[in-house]
Amino acid sequence: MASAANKKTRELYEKAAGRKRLWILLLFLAAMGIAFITLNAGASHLSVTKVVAALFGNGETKDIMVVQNIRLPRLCAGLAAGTGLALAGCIMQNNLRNPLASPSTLGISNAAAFGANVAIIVFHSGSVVNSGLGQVVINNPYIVTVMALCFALIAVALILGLSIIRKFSPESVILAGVAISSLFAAGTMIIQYFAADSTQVAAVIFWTFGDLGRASWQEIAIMSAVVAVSFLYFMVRRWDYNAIDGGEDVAKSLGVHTERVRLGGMFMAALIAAVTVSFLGIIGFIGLVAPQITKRLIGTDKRYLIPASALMGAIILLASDTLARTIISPQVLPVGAVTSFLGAPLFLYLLMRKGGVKG
Amino acid sequence: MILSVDGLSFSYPSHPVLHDVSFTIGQSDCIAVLGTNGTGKSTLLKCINRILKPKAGAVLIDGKSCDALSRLDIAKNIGYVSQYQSLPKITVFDSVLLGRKPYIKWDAGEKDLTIVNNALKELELLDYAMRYTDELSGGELQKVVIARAIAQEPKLFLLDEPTSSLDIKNQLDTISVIKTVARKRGIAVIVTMHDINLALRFANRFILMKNGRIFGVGGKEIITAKSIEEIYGVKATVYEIDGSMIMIPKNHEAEFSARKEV
Repeated sequence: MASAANKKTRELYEKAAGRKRLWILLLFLAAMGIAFITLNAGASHLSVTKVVAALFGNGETKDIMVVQNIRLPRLCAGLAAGTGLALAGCIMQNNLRNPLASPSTLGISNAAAFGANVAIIVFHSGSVVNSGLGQVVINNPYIVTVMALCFALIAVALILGLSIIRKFSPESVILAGVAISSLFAAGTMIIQYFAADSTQVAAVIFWTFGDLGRASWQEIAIMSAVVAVSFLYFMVRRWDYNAIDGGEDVAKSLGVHTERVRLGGMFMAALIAAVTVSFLGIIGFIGLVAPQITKRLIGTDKRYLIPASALMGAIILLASDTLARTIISPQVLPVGAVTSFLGAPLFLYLLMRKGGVKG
Repeated sequence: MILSVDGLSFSYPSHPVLHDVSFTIGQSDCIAVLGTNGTGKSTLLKCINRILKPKAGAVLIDGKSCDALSRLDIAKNIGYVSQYQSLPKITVFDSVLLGRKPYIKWDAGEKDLTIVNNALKELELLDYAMRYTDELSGGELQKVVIARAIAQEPKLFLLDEPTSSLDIKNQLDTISVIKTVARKRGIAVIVTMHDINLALRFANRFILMKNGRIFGVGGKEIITAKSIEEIYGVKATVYEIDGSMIMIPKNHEAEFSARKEV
């Protein structure tokens, strides 16, 4: 009798775990589906067969150029940035035990924007031209990227430094992030206010919009490597994150070095955010909303939440980018605005439907 | 001897809490730590478990110094149940599986799942296994955290006021479950409590604490009217009825003498 109950419990457990793995598989298939749509969507209306042929280097040169030099890098940047930002948000929210934690709320995005402002306006390193389409183009993006990365890392160092030296609680880390964010936002405003040339201000605002087409293959490779290493690190720590969810004392009693795990996770998450924002500009909302939507679908168990959030981030970002490029084609909308337009109603719908996180 | 605590002291930045605390505990011992609020009972458990780092003194688990053990090794030896429960919002099965965290390298294996199943069975939680923790009552939650501690396969349980938020039935059930599990598995127990009568039912040894120091260590004989007044500042009488001891505070004793069976 008892043995039958044992067997039944194990079966139920395996079934529940299987359901969550099925969710991850479905999200993976959805991400691949959207990736395929992304590759086929664009101003030059190519058929699916032409896109597939161009992908393998066959067909007209123009088609190969469009697919391999424009759409494919954009798709890869979207996959890396979407998964990365969602992972960063997921880990920040868990480690700080606050659903509002994200690269934006911790000041990393504003710090990167400040760096871009300094490069473009103060050092005149990002000179501006008006292209034939009337768009503002930054023709020296490397220095802008390096400056954005430097200031994003300064923000990360400030937050982590304060956490270590002053032994900040998770709540204090969030507040410190808000303060650092305000500080860099104020710095950005002052720089823009005193800018001599209005086109420089236009350029820097254009930079902050966020654009998946901005990154080179080299930058995409760096971004992908950072995201892949971080993902592996987070997966290794997934049991620790579950234990931390139960409180500091409980986690320690289960053998978790809570400070070390928190700081390691925050560093990796902040690095993803810094690299992504620096290479692509500010893409808000993904880090905040992707883990929250995923929690409402499969619960808070980090064994499943971490990979599922990453896939959800890729889905939201690729879907937003595809919409941004096609809705008023050939004009391209800022992808950050579209992520909010898509993500916010979906998030509100899930909030109303489920009434809270699963479990 | 499972645990030896020698000259343990601890201070928070604002004030000292523990002063030169020393005692030992053998296998299958059940020790109740009694004392007023703020006297350092919970801090003592946290120092033994290295959740807090003591300022001075030594803690030996099974003859090995805690300083020489990794956090994972300590977790394999000591199961801790904190005073305040905030379980992650996962299923009961997964919550208990967290107790296997010190042993799990990458993912839970067959042995881990069997141990969790057995712990759930022992605490009669099999029917609740797939429920989420926020769907449980206080008594059920308490059972889940005890099951998680069992899954750690420890030599020592540290239980910080495990019955403080429970009704009388759940208090007795919880105490009975802990006692049965500890006896069956040969696990020593240190439990902090406020209810002296419950402690008298449960423990075979007692540590009385006052102002962060040990006031007395021993068997039931140290629970006397005098020691209760010294520690709590309350006059009381300790009766022995049918071999069991019971403590009644003096102001209630008047009502007790004019008692009427209902």
